[in-house]
Amino acid sequence: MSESVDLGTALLQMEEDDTIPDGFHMMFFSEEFKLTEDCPMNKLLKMVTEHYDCGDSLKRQIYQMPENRNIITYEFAWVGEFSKLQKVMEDINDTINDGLSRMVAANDMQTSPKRRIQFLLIQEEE
Amino acid sequence: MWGMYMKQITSVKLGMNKNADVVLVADVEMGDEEDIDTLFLCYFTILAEPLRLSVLTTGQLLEKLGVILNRNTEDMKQLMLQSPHDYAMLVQENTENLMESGVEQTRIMLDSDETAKQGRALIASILNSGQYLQKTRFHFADGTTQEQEQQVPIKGMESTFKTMLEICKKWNEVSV
Repeated sequence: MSESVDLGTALLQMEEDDTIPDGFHMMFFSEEFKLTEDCPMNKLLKMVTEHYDCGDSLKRQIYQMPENRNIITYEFAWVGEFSKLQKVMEDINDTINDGLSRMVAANDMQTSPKRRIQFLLIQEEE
Repeated sequence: MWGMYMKQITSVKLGMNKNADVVLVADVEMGDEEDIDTLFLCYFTILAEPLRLSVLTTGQLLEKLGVILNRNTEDMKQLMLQSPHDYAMLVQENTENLMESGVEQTRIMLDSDETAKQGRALIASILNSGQYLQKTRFHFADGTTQEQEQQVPIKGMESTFKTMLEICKKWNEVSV
């Protein structure tokens, strides 16, 4: 069974193991996202990713599920110095959580989207 | 009892509608009327050799994901029905593996000004509108057909499409 640890501990362990990540990837899944520029999630992530200079990585996709259910995803990646990673990751996470809480409170969304966060290891080409 | 699942994507055609939007029409041969394995992946790409603009698809995702994750197809079906977000997450995580079994469904050869111009027009239109239209016709074993229509955004993939456009423009300078 895997044990969950806080971000700082996980990053420290990665440093000790010499598996320092180059960045992280965040992805959000919801049936309530829209395919328009004024989708509240699009506006929130656009603001966040532009602030952290990774606006070019923001991507939206659609998964057509059975019974006419469409799951829309947003994803982006931040790549940068290891020393900044924890702060950037936590700040982005907090900003997004605040934004999502506001969206739910304003009835722009009924529930917060599912999300996945992964560290990025960029493989060098030989 | 196990149902029958998606058999194959029989054809994919590219065209433009009167608004000059790119329309991708896919015909999909399904299993029985209970078949819900409708999700498939679809990608525009440049392939060589010969140099061409292609559309690749991969379907039968319940079965393929089951193999990748060492789970049976029925388990995957239950996951898709009960937790579609988790299922979509698994598809996304395994896209690269799934696309290994991708099939080239349609191609525009980049070997003459005339065909390269067709490729250019399609990609330029997708870039201009930021999306293309996907129409899917699901043909079930009992003879019934269901149609789905969906706008497919290319947000975040603009640079890939721009590269494809450049290759369509300069096809005769590309060495393969």
